[in-house]
Amino acid sequence: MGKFLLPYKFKYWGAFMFPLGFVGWYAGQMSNVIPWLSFLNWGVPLTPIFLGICFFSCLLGLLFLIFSKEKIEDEYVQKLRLESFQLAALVQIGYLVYSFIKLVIITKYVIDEKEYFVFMFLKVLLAFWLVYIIRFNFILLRNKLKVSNEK
Amino acid sequence: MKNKVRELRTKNNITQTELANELAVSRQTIFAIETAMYVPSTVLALKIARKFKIKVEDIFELEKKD
Repeated sequence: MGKFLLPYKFKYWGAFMFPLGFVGWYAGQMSNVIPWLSFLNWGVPLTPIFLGICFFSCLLGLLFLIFSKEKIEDEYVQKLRLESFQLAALVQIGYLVYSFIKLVIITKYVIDEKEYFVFMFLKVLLAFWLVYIIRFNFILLRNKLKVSNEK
Repeated sequence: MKNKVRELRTKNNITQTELANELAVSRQTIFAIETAMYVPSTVLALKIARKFKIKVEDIFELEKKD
């Protein structure tokens, strides 16, 4: 599994790019709604570029966070990684099924389908990555705290 | 699976960090093995046995549920 992973330093890039990209993208989206964020609306051509950069920075940051090695990437870390991927895949399938049920039963196709599908698949993709990051880092952090209490 | 890693480590007066460095694993891995949260691979089990100069069977022991 280790041969598909990026070097450890990419984790820092991910930790920097993901929150910054997300905040930028969200602020850019809200700039039309919230008056004090209107400074982000430089003009018609600039805003989509800004939003695009922020969005891909956010996605790339997430990718770096997931696919970068730990400082010591040993067999235990790889086992945790595999388990986290399994859990994330399960949650993703569950979320996908829920989204389809919501689309068919609750909204009954009243909404704009194309836009909904794009947004839904984006949410499903993000759910996978976020569940993986949260689970993997939670177990690592919990073990680190336990280890620090040991001799 | 039960193991005697902690017992052997304290008997030989080795810290978790020292053992982890010698086996090229993280301290968390040693902790996980000692608390039976994780069963090491054959390679790591052999490395541990070699470190304490005893047989693998003398460190790791199967339980009824295994």
